[in-house]
Amino acid sequence: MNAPERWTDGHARTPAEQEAAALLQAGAHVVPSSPEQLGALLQGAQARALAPPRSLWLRLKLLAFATGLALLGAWALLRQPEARESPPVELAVRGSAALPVEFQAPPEEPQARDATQPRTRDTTLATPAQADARAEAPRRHGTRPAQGEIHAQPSRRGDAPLETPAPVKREPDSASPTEPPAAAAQDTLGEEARLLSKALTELRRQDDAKAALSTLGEHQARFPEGVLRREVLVTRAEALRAAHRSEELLELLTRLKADGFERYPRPAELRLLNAEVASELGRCAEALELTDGLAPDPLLSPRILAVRQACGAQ
Amino acid sequence: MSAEVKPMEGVQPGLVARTESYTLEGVFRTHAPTVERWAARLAGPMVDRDDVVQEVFVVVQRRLPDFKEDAGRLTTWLYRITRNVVRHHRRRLRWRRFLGGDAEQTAGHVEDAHLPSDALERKDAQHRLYAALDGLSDRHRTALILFEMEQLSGEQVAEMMDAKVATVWVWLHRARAELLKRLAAQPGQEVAP
Repeated sequence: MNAPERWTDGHARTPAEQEAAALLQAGAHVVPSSPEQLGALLQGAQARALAPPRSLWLRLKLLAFATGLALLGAWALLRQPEARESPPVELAVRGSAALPVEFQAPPEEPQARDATQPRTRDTTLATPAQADARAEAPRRHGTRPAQGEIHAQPSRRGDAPLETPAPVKREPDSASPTEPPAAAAQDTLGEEARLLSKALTELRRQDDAKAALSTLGEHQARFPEGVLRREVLVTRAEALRAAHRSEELLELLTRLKADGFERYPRPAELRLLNAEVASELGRCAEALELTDGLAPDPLLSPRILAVRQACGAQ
Repeated sequence: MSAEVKPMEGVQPGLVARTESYTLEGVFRTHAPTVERWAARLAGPMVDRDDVVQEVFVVVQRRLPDFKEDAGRLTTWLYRITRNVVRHHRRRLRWRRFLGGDAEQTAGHVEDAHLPSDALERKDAQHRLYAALDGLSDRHRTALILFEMEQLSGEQVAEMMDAKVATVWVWLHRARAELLKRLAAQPGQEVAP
């Protein structure tokens, strides 16, 4: 191929080439820097040459970015099945219309949710830390007599266990002695969350309240002081309701009430549940007293009304 | 941000003795205006020219002790460093555009808004030109810039780009055709062929 003639030397023939040549000439225009500016550039280059290579920082930044993306993807994957596994659950209310109550299944990693998920409704599952905070406030101010914590562990209060779980030998911690305590706690919490998740699945998706109660009993036996013990007790109340074991449910709710519903997740719902059971058992005064303390809630209001109507009819 | 400078092509390690006569100050004093001009023309108005120049001489300072005069002329060596640094900056600019923000926002170099009218026209022309040039392949773009804007001969372009002269002519031919096509496709531009 022959050497082409330079457009910018005036050899552009067509208007398009002339236009391009003009643009190329404009692009070739460079305002040179002054000697002072060049001197500053040299000093800057010398300073930068002495600094550690920035490519290392770039690689670190890219690594951090990729790690962030991976974590985000993992989080999204974990959230997706959770959303599928926790459809809205309808609690059958005898004597009144069945009203939907949305329960939220606990996530696989509850401690991660604690820091990141804002609480928008009182009826959602509160975290243990939040429940503790709610309970600690009145206790510090002396508005409520201090009581021992309620657990399914019978020896603490001398009550008979509501659900006698199969004697499960408490497994030794899976973490080795050399493992840091944080890792062991993580394993324990993971196992707790697994059991609770299993119980919720059995209760809400498989409609198997009996299996759910068995799983919750296993949790209570293995982790009597577990981080998720309050969530387990609330789920147990839900399971007893589904199994139509009103007497046991009332007994459990009475204990939770004595301990303070505010110390547990979904306190308003627990209170309403107690009112419903009391109403069904003919204890209308107690039921009405319980509903009186409930704040208006679009999800709970129909059930509150149903309790009041039932008691009014009686 | 350091440039990903490849080892210099054609270098035969150990064949020549190390040249100790070059210093950063000396190379800078002699070649900084040239490097600055290459940086401006290769990178275009959207890349911070001063940043490119500074980065070129950071690389020069690190690699100067290893520079072997017989392996290539100093200008060619400097040009290749500049080319790689510019390529790195343009890649970064593309990423910034991809991740968000328009070209003006993501440009590292923002010129003074109070420019005389002829300078504004020139700036507009440069934006149009580089918008079209950025659509060309790197080899075609570089060949066109070196030939038309740097006014280098075909042989010099071939040496700079480490290619045969005939290949450079082919690149130039294709680059010109592509440039005309892209300029004609720009919105509001209807230039008769």
